[in-house]
Amino acid sequence: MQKRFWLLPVLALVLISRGGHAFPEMVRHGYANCMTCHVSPDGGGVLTAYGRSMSREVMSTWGNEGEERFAYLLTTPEWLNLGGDIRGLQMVSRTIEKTRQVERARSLLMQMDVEAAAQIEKWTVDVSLGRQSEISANTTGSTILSRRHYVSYRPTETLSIRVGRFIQAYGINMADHFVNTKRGLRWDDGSESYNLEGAYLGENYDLFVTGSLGRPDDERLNRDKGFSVRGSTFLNERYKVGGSYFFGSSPLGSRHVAGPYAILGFTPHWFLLAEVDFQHLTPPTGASRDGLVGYLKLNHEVFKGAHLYLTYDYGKLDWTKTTSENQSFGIGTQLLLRPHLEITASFQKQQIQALSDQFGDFAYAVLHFYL
Amino acid sequence: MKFSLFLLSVLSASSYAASTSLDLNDPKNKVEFLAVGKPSAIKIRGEMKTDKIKEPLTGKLTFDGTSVTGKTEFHLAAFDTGIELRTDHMHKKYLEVEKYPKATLTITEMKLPSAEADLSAKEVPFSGKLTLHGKENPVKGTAKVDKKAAKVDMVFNFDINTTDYGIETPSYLGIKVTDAVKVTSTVTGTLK
Repeated sequence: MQKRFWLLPVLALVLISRGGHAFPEMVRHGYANCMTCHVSPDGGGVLTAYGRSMSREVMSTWGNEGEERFAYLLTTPEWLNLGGDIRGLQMVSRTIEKTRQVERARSLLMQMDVEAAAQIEKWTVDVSLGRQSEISANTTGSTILSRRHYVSYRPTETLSIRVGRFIQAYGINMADHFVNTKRGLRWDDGSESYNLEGAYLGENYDLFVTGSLGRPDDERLNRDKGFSVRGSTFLNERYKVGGSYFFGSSPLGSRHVAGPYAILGFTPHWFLLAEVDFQHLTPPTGASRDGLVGYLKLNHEVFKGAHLYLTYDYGKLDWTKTTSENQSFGIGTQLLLRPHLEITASFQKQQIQALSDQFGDFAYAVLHFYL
Repeated sequence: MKFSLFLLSVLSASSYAASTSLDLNDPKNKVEFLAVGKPSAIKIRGEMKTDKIKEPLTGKLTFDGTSVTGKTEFHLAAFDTGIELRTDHMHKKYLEVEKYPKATLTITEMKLPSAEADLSAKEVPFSGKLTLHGKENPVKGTAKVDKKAAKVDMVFNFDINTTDYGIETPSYLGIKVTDAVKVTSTVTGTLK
């Protein structure tokens, strides 16, 4: 078992491959709600025509007229938005396993998805189709799946009702899905469940209430059934602060998760993402466990499309067990040189108490092309 | 008769002494606006940049006892929304800055609570008129006044409706900017 611990960082990174990026930090440009640029009320996934345009105008270093189009080529009719993700990973790690230093390197095609959203008046139908990497100790395979499929209805400009398969709104919806506030809480890639969501998306506040049925089509996945509530307020045009609460039960136990989060756009070039969550888990047998996860990212956009950032990630989901603790801190860069083309690279010092109390090294680079 | 002449001269002198003016040409002085894009509530802030126009705002405010009046002109091409394409659309398509390069705000009525030398963060109503996009409309708002001897800091806030000025409602790829726009002007300087 011990020798398989090296899989943790690899698996963690595979979990980056959640379909479609969300960029909550766009709050720093006054974009308080995700629906300006994304079809999904909670962001991520297929982009709207406006979102495509912003990828060229606001986010990318360079971009020519027309590069915002689907695969740089196709202009879709107004009622149809197409998207998709192709993502590849190169990672290296040096972990200390007891007294032994273990070095690993690996390349992966993490994701290849397409997604279509048809919008007719107040109705939207969204379906994605793609492949998901599956990794075991010796092999890498993949399966075809639809991560997201839902129908949404917007009775007014500020209200949204959505039913289907997607990840419930909780905390900051961000691309870094390998961190403790996502992966640690089992809300990472592939954790989409069947939900009914109601959302209010106002000028100064937003509120999401989601009821989750888990995965009735595949109970082996042990997805939570329960509900979540997430609300936030926008301050001074560039700041968003809020809190979330989740209750769910699954064969792994019932749990309450709650915590605050903040997206602070100090200037158009500096922002901070911060989230802390507390979990109280009552397993089917044995004593209940309390724990904490947290994530911080301080980012500077050096020039348009070129970012440098510092991160800190912490998790300890059982206060009574030192081995449940892990933390990492590091530096990274995100380059958005052309529309929809993204290169992310990061170097992390990572401590996983279940392996060792020493910090190991962990570096990765991701090449992402949004179709 | 002599007493009357003396009284008149004293009153004239005190009246002359009470009338001072605030030059608004300082590049620190600015006008900003805040508009909202719907349906997703984008906050669009337009700020004046001095890289293209060195003195984007000119004019003078006159303080006469408790009364403040004055006129300021500002270059609309100095407004920047932080996104190049959006700023370009604003200048060319909506404000038509080549045809209407400047807006003029005239303060016709504003009363300070007292003529004292020092006023701390007093908010007072004002009324006036705004000429924008070739059309003039009355405006009403509030001004926060901080005054310490001759040093004055003022923040004017008022709302306008862009359709009143014949400005087409801005829209881009499904996002529409609301007609109601909040305008803020911050001025600072020394009374002379």
